[in-house]
Amino acid sequence: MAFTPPSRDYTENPIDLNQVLVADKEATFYYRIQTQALINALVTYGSIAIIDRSQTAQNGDMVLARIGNEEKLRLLRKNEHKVLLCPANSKYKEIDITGRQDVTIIGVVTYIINDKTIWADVCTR
Amino acid sequence: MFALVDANSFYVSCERVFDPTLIGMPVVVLSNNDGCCIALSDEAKQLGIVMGTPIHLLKEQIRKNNIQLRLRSSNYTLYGDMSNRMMNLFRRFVPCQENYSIDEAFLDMTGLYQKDLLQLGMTIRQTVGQYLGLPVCVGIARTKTLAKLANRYAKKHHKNLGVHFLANEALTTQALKATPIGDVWGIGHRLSAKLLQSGFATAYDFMQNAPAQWVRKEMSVVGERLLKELRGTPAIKWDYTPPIPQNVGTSRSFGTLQTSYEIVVAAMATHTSHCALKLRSNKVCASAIQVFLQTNPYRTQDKQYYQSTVVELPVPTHHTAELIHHARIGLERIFKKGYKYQKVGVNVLDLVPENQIQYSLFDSMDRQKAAHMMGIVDSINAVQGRHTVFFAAQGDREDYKLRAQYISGRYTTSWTELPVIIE
Repeated sequence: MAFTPPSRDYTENPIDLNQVLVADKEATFYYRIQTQALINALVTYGSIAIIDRSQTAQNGDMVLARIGNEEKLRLLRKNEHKVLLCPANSKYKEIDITGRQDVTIIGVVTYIINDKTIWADVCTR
Repeated sequence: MFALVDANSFYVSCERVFDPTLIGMPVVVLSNNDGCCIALSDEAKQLGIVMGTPIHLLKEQIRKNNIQLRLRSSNYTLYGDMSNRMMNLFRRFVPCQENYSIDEAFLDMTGLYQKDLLQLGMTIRQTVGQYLGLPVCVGIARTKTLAKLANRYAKKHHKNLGVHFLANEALTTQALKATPIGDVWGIGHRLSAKLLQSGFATAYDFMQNAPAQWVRKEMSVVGERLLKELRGTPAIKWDYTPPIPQNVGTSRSFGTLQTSYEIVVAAMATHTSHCALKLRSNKVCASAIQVFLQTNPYRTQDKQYYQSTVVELPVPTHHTAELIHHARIGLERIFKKGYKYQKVGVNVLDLVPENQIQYSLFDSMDRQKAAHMMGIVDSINAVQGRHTVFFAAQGDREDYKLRAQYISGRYTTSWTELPVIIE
């Protein structure tokens, strides 16, 4: 009889990123970001956004919005009077979408993935 | 109660999810090899474009009438993934479903906790619309045939609501009266002409006035079943699990006409390898393989040739190399020099479950080892992409690859082809 190592009772499956990054498999889509509009929200040019279309956007969420037939990534800011799509970069303007029929919130950005090439250009001071 | 849910202009809708500039535009999706129109948006229909229009006529129309028609090559990788997502979403609402085609499914709504089926239909439509960006219509009724009919009614008369529930006698009668007999599920051209001639213009006429004896005589068991279904008694069986396919085939036109044996045999090997993969994923083996070869019948200036042959396999198999070996024997039998070939194809025949194979006494192949090898090939290709590991016989795919000039990305299955948000 071979010896059964005691660790066997403690075996678990290794970490699977899907468990954390994907809440709803059917409604999750991945997009490549090529914009600087959200640079101050730590979203860099070239990163990947994980977008969950099953979630209803809340105030403060980062969203993928369709404006006419253009798609933009923005921060959703709501108050009693207005609904705004805000950039995180002073070079871009905020968009007032209050009551606009031609705007749809497609989904909520749940995670952003960067790869190691990003750090090369970071200012270290 | 049953529901039939289907996506509106499914292929076009899939394209629009990832390319919003297509929204509101006339869009046409082309067949394999960009031959002709196989799917079109409402806007394209309104321009008078019909299914099957060849690409050169489409291009001519674009040029002559200066219309803004947008073309797409068919992207089955994308459509297949979106279809899977949609079917999986249905599973959240009902315990049983029959995935009837790539873009439609029957849902069994019997005995649900949720009693308001119209509301359930609207929830399903809303969910698929939000989660996947695909517009769907829902028809709900007592039988599959009536559910189909209700679905068509929703499309025609309640486009904005997108859901129609034949909840009572009056609503059912109204829908039956509004449905021309030729639009009833399962009634083809010839039958429709016959029924019209006999004075049944609508589904209602047929259901109300067709004498049972006449139906039995003229339409046999199909007609009797139809009559039952239209009267609200389910008569069509449910197929929850698709049956094992009896034949599997792959054939494609070449990108350009081919004369060389080397290229034809390489394309044939690729088709065979697709068939073999399908066999393995269905856990069945083929007992014989059919090979066929043809020139382009529309090029009347060319010499014409069509030939096919069947090669029996010593032992049923789903091993790629073995199938290619036998397909090649078949091709050598039928290939003739001096023709311009348009298409080569293979069909694998007489499929048997892999665990019921009678091994031959004189079989010289190590089948366990071979199966193990194919398992490794499949798992590599599943992760790294379809053509990562392939048999040398498949040759250089560039020689015979399909034309797909207007193809969009594999947005949901490939890290290198993700949709891009550009600003």
